[in-house]
Amino acid sequence: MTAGLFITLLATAVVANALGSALGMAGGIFIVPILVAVAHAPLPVAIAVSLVSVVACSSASAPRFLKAGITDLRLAVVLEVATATGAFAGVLIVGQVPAAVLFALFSAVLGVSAAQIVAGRRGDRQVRVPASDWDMRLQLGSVPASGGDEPTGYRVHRVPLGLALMFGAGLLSTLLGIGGGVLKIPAMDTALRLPLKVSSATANLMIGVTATGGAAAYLLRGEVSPGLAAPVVLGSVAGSLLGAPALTRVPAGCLRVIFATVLTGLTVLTAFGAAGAGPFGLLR
Amino acid sequence: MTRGLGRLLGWGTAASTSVMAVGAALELTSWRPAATAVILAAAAMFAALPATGLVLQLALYHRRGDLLYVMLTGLVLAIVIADAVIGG
Repeated sequence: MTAGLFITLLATAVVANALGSALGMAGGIFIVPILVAVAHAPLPVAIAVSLVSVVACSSASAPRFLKAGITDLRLAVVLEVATATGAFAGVLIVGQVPAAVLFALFSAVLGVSAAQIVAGRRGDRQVRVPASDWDMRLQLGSVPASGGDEPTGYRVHRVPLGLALMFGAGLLSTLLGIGGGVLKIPAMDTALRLPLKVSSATANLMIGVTATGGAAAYLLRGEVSPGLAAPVVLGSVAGSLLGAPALTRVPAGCLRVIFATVLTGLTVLTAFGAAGAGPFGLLR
Repeated sequence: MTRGLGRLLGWGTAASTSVMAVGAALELTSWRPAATAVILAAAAMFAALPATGLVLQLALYHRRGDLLYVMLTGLVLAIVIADAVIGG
């Protein structure tokens, strides 16, 4: 590896993960096409490196969110059952879904998510409703210790719908080699009606768990390229440490606008990707 | 639990990043065989971090006697391990 390529990948990973961790996701969705386009990495190698970087990003950002008290650990465990099962299903069918179909589906999901994030949810205010069966049985809902402008307490709504969406997020994450925060955060925001910062911080922890099985599998198969992994993972950690403080400091309304912009951009790019054009077109 | 998990992930990330930085330095100085071994070891350390976090959560739920969450955390851990083994 040349020093130039090393620095390019390091800088790209820093920027991608700084943006990603500021929103509670990782930079995997940006890393995979860049590895293919810039480093000419085969797709499985790019996905393998991306998954390791997703775990690194999640692990580097999570302590700050845990300290701020905006990560819902109980909810993360409940939802991880669905995402991990979806990821496992993805491992079983990987390679059987045509890339064009995958990107078209991904683009549609991102488009719907962007629309829901833009519509918002009564300005992030929680609606006082009686606790549901699921809510009470699983002892969900919490009071964040310090979340800035976030509500001081929340209930978790529509858990079965959230579990179904998380299964889909886990499935798509494995098939695309991403952490899936970009899918999990809107699902948690819309279905479970959580405060956006709680959704983002909880999704950040969950993406590490979703990606870890895939990362370990690729490591065992010998598909993690050491030359590409070093700059991307180091850049991911640095980017996460730079970006994570923003999630706790930026107002929730501003976060919603940034997240909607990123989702809209990705919707357009993945729609082009489905047609074989743009950066995601390289992955077909 | 929050503090314990935060510390585990924080220290684990610091240790894995240090090993990865050594590997990157070896890679840039063209010490290829050593670089490959060190970078893959660092990648494995990173990949193990979330699973280690789940083990910690499982132990802490068990200590609290929270059987429902012991089962749920154990289930997640089992799926992640199956994912790695079958996928690998």
